Amino acid sequence: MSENIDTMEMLLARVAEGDRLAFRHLYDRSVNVVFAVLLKILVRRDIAEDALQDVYVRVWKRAASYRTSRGNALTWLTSVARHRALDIRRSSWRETALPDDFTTTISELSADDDPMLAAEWGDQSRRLKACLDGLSSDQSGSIQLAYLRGYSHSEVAASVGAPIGTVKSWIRRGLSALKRCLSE
Amino acid sequence: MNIRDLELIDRLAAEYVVGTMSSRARRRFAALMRDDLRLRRAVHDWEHRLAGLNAGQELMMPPASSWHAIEAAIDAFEGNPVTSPQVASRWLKSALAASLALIVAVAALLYFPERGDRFDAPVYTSALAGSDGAVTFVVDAFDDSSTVRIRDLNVSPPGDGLIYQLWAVPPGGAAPQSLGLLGDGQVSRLELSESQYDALINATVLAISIEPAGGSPTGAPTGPIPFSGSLVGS
Repeated sequence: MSENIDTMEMLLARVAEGDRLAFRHLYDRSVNVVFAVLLKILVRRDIAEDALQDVYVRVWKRAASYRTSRGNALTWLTSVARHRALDIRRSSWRETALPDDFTTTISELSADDDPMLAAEWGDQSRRLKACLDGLSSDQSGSIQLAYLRGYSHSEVAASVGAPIGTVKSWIRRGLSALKRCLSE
Repeated sequence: MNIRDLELIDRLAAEYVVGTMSSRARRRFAALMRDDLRLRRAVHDWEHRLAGLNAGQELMMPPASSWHAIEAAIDAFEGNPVTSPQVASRWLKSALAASLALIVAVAALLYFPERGDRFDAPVYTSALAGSDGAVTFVVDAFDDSSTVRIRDLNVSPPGDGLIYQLWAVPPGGAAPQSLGLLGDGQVSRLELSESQYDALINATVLAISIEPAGGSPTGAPTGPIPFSGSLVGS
């Protein structure tokens, strides 16, 4: 029924009014993206599962603060998740404790392959991809390692075998170029 | 404000969103952001620009128990009765105790209003309960001042020559870190060091142990741990 019709923004508006069914639908629709975001950054499933609980409890409590001016609902949800994951990772982790062979996936589908999720992202991801393609591979790769895996400058530097100052410059210039490209 | 300020705001917002800031810088930036609309807007703009990066990622499903744990936490937050004992966080021995603890935590927040709280709301709260589910202490953490407030809900003293000590228990089975010793009064305040604050915000559970006066001699809990509770972000 309405699950197939309601956008995540509509679900979130109902969650803000305390609608538990809408919250369940929102969870079902978004959790595989949100958990992927957490797991990529936090690596360990047990820590990612705890963070997931925290993220959705926050979503329940803060749904009323969501505004469509902040982008679509999935952007908001993934932002809540990323900031929580980054707070955990930056505060508690020693870089040497991170496994470097993180490949755990239980689905070969990406969000792009899911028609409903693809509709949620819409032009946002297509335009971003086009702009990323315009960056150097060093810039694009460094930004993605930082954003998607939560790597610090020094972790990116170690991962790609470049000096940290160079990596900082790649990321900074790459982001400036992305901003210009996206505003065109 | 000149163009250089705007550029700086934009650059910092980008670093915050991409995630390359250090822990300390992230916390400072987040504190500044709360009071500055320009920073919030710059951050939202960058979140919007970069969110599409997530679209190409593999999807990952958490276990079904994740939903049950979320539902239980929300039930407790909303004050609903908990219907199933299996819905709890695995960090607590008793699901019911945890949920009751949260219900009472909310009640306690209403019951013990303190002047100024409206403007300095806690960002993390934990209601610590004993094995019978009765809440004993309510712990509130404040994001920008590194202060923790512990309210004692008429708990019996730990005994002669003994003291209650508060611990942050990290996820994943790592060693608890001491947050300090509780005073005698109904309300104690602890000033946390940076490492203690990091331990707190990353903890999933807070616990109180009974230690010799002066605190644990080993840096880890040595006595019984009569009270514990989930740490919930507000």
